Amino acid sequence: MVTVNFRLTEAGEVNVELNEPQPLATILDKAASRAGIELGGVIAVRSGQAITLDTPINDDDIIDVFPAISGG
Amino acid sequence: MFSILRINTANGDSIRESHSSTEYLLGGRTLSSRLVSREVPADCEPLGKKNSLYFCNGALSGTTVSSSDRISIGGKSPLTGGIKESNAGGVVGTRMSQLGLRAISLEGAPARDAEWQIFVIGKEGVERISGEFLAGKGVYEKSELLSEKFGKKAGCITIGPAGESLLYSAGIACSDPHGVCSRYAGRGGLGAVMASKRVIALVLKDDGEVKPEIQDQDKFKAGSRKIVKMLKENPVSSKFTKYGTAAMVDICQALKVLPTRNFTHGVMEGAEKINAQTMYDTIKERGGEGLTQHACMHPCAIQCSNVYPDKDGKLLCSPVEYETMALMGSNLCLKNLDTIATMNRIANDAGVDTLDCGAAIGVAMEAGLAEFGDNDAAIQMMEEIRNLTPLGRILASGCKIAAQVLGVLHAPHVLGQGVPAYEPRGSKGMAVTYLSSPMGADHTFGFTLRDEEVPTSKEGKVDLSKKFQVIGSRMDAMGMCNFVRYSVRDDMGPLLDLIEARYGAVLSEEEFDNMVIETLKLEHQFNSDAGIPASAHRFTETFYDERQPETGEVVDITDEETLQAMKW
Ligand code: SF4
Repeated sequence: MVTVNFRLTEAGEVNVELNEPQPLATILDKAASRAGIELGGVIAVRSGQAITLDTPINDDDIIDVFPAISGG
Repeated sequence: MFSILRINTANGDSIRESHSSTEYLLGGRTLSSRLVSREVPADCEPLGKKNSLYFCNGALSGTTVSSSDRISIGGKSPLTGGIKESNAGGVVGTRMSQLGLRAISLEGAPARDAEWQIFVIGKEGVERISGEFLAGKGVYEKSELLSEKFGKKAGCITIGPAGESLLYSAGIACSDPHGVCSRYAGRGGLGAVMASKRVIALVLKDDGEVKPEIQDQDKFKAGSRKIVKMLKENPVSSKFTKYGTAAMVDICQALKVLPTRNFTHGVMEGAEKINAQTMYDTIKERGGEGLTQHACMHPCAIQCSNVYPDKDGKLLCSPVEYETMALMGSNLCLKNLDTIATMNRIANDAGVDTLDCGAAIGVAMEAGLAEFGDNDAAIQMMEEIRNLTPLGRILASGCKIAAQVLGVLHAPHVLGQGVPAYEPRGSKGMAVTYLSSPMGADHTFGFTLRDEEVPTSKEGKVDLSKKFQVIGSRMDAMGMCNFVRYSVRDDMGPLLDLIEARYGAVLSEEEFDNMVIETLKLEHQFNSDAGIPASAHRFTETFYDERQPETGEVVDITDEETLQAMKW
């Protein structure tokens, strides 16, 4: 089970079942559709490291997902 | 035709000139940087009479287009010694449009002991009056006095006591929609340049009757509605609506680039005490005058601004933005939003840039003048700035000078301008942007962080920074708010269509970007002519030698890479 934590949104925490490692993009699609939200640009962080959409995600990973806001 | 009002600050004479070139059509930084490049001798003294100060609104100013009324203020910076464009929201751009103005220049300078002057611009012309009644007062009191005299709807531009004292981090304050001069063109010390001309305020009366001439009304209305729809539907800009820029606290903490303890760390334990959710909850809980959403100008479909109330629900500071929360919060190990808002308010009143003063206080704390995390001491240092004590003057001169005076080697600046709220060792794209900006360390110059796949790697970051130097500069180039860029970053068509509908001028995306790039080239050329060497585009050595603990990184951008990022 992967935990996707949509930070700064109402969606909050979403769990996604996983049988084998899958790219972050796939996990995010599943999690967003389960939460019923539309994803724009995001910044994803796992264990304090920024990860990219093709990073393989493993079972038990916890991923923080932020809307890719920037300062002005 | 577009008008520039040229004011000779030495004798009070003024003339209006008309121009029809593309640079005047676009206005904003496109115009301000060209005027500085052409008319200000690059090697002049920033606080001498040969420097000029330019105020330019943008191509869609005064219309119904969301977030299109920022003004660019340009001149030679006393802080960096180079060219400066600093922009602000508020209502001044609109008032300029209503008076038929694209630009105002303040030229020359009277004797150093001349009395303070105010230039009042209205439909009947320009009047010079004494500004002595404002001298020495804080910006909030100045705002009240200006509102009493000229009405709350006047567009006022003023400086604080720090500007009057010619201090290098002095900004220029512009009226918000409520008649409070709280919207700052904070960076680069342009407030000191205004003071060097003995101009304590500019007033744009609310009697302008010029309506925007629009060539194709239907197309313009449809285009304007399209921008609102894009802003509201864009998942990124719509996030600003709820949390404003404060949302960056959590993001930067997660990416380990939250400036902490005078830029020696990228993570602050307890950062959630000053994050967007805490700010949102605090504002909601206190109620009163507090607002989680607020527009700095009308119309704005994003409304990223806020009003932070005190414990009794009375306005404490508006706005409180991420950059300030980091430089006056985590950078000083302060975990109290009330402290940050209080410091922000004092900075606004003194008329200084919150980033440069936050960076300078970080240096002062490292020098042992106070403990990191000491709320009272941090507020006291801001009071020293407001009261213009010797220490206050040092802090309000920016972190480079503060570090030299106080004997601190780790001073977060490039070209003397304080590093904004993204630790450069943890984001190599931002490091390249800070190093290559002609304005000194400036995050808006090329904001890469959200697009860096691996922030700690420098691979590809020169190209990424250059890409965002163009994207970021597009908004400044025509007086739009930077936050609109999310909706048009891949397609400037909707904004260029609006320009066509308004003026009948067809500008392709390529032609527009060429203007943007030309502006960058002119800015770099000005700095080179001003005698700024390539070697000045560096951080202090400590950023190259000492690893940021959380990422294990140093700045590893070479001079050659910086030069590539500056070359167009
Ligand atoms: S998005 Fe924020 S800064 Fe931009 S115009 Fe609106 S309120 Fe002002």
